[in-house]
Amino acid sequence: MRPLTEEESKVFFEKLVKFIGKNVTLLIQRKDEPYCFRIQKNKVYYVSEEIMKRSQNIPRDSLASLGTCFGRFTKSGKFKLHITALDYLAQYAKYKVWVKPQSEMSWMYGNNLLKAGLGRITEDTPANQGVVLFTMTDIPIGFGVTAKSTHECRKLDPPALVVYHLCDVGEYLRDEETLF
Amino acid sequence: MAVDKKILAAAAAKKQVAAKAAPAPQKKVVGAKPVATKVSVPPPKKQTTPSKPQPKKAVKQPEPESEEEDEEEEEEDFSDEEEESTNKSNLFEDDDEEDEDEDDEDFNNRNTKAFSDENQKWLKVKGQEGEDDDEDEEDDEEEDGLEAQSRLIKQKKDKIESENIDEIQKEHKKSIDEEDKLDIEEEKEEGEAQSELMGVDLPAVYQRIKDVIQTLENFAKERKQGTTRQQYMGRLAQDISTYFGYSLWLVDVFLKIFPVGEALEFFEANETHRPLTIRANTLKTRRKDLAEALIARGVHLEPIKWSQVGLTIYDTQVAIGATPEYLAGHYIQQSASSFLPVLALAPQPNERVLDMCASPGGKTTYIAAMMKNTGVLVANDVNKDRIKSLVANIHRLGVKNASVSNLDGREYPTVMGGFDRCLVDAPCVGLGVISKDPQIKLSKSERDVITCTHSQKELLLHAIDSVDADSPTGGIIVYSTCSLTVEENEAVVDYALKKRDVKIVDTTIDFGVQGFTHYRDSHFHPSLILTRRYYPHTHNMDGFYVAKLQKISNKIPNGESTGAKQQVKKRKNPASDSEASNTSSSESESSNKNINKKAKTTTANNTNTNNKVSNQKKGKGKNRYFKSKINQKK
Repeated sequence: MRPLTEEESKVFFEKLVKFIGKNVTLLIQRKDEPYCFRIQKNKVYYVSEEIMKRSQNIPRDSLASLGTCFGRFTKSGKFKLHITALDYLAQYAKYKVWVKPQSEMSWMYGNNLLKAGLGRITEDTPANQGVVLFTMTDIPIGFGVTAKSTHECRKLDPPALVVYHLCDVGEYLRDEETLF
Repeated sequence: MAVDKKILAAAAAKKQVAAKAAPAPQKKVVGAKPVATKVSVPPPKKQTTPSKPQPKKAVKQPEPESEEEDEEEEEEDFSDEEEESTNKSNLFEDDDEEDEDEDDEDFNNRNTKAFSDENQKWLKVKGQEGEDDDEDEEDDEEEDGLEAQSRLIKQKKDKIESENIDEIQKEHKKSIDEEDKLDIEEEKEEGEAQSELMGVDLPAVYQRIKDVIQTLENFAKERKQGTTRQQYMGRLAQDISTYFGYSLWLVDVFLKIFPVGEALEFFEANETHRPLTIRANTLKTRRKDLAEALIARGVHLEPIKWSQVGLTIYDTQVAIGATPEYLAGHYIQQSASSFLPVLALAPQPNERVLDMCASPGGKTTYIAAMMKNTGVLVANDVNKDRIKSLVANIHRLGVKNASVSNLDGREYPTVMGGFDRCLVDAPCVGLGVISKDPQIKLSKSERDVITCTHSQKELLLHAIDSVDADSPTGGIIVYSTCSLTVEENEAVVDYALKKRDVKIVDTTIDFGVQGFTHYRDSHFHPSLILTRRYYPHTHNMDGFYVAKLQKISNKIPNGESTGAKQQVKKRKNPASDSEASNTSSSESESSNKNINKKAKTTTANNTNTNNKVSNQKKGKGKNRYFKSKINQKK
């Protein structure tokens, strides 16, 4: 367990900014408790400093998780967000997409979101923007990247792609072996 | 002749040759119907079928050849009958070609001849079917399978003599013996029971169980003169093990825990599943909202009365483990009994809590929910594979105050100490969850109990040492198992009472059976009455045991300590371990004694082993915890 290096921080926060924009600062400067990012076995964890300090007692090999896992660094140095970060992403997301009930399951099986399943979308969402997806009852179910801007979406045919799939909550079941 | 055929049929059934032939007649029957009307005497289905291809094939092949073929085939037919029916399927394929001549006589002849042929085959096919059925049922109940088979055969062959049936049954039994090794034990037991009881079936065994229990409950009046209680109990144990499929040792264990009448209820409750329960995750939703959402998805549910967060699922149209709410972490599937230790632990916000054996995280996430995601929650589990599901559940349910370690629980005061509360849901033999995993009925033995009790005692002591008695809010340790033996439960807690400065406090759960204060020849501390047991038949939840301990002081009596430095040295001498196991394997009655003995020898050995190097002990140690740990290091 160690803090992120400068290089890592840059890659990491660039990725995070795609989804939550300036709200990243809210993650670091919290009013309630000091929180920090720590890297452990390639995975980045967001954790309160007290828990971080306590966890330093646990041998590095045996420490399986602390706080919330945001994602991991690949071997090539890129950062990949995990579905476990969804809680915080949903909390601070700038752009949101709501999915119609009939398309929820399709999304949770790892498919892209089509226009037919698009319930609502934040105004002025640009194309290629990271978005968090919600059910119509405001339960976050994943995140992805828009294929078209809000404006373009209005004219699209039902089978047209709207949001590319990145992560969905179905991964808790599908990828439990590899994810954790 | 009839006898011969039957034997033949049995042979055919055994070899399962007819598998190919079986579908053939059916197909042909369909085709045969229109043709059958032409023929004056409606021939058996099989025979008529060949007549259908007549017009087509007649064109292709000249008549005389087919006649010759016919004769040859007929001869073959007879030989086949006498020897074996392996070629049956071929025969009938050939029949198609044979029947290309249109002579009525020939046709009729073949009909009659073939009728016997056909008949025989038919018999064989059925025999085969019977066999199949039996194989399906084998796993469940041998007895029924045999009966069913004999019934089938009887229906088909009215004139079969009873001798033949016996023969077939014997052969059948043999083949099954070879096939299923698992069933051998049951079979033997049944065989014994049968020979003694002159072949009485399961309902009769059940009836006898009831009768014996009735007699035992009113022993003075209803006993037969000269029959001892031990004889009755022996009979009862044997019958229960026959009827419910338990090992005799396990039946014995339960008969010691429960009065006979209650024991039967318990065994019967283990045959049915407990209701499916879920726990609403208060970190993300409220029980009321969750219930509404699930009802909208077509789930029939009802809140659990004694819990704030539990829901019982009665009926569901969707997979309860794959709804959007589940994946979003609004609830977790968790048996009702595993709410109990957390309720007893009653963690408060901003405390430091340790869950020593956490996977798969049902209790851990419940603790986090009760702490409202504040403070520090350390979840530990020794098994690396199970850690994954623990981490997955922690993240899915949005627990943010947890750190997960993959350590042996016994490393705990060394790695980290001074907790406010600690939950030890110790690994156990699992005798409370037989309805979930029926394999326990046969797979567990006394040896498992002994190894488990050993690690349970160590885990509990280390848990107690990990907790700070001076904590302003806590100093609480909760010990729980999903097993029912007194050795794994009361005896372990009693051991901890002697070894550490702790007292038992009320679990604050207002239902449950009181713990044992004395059991057979051992007497426990009277305060063990405050611990709670839960049974499948009384509470309709998995069997469970919960004890809540309050730490009085951090002092360790007898000058011995599991503190950071000497923690490793607490390990028991392997010699005493094997000794104990040897003596105990003889009789289960003395098992409790042995464990007490073991406890004494353990403490005696503690001082002796202090000097030894821990690594040596790891090498010698037979305990599976050592093994798993070593494996992990590799």
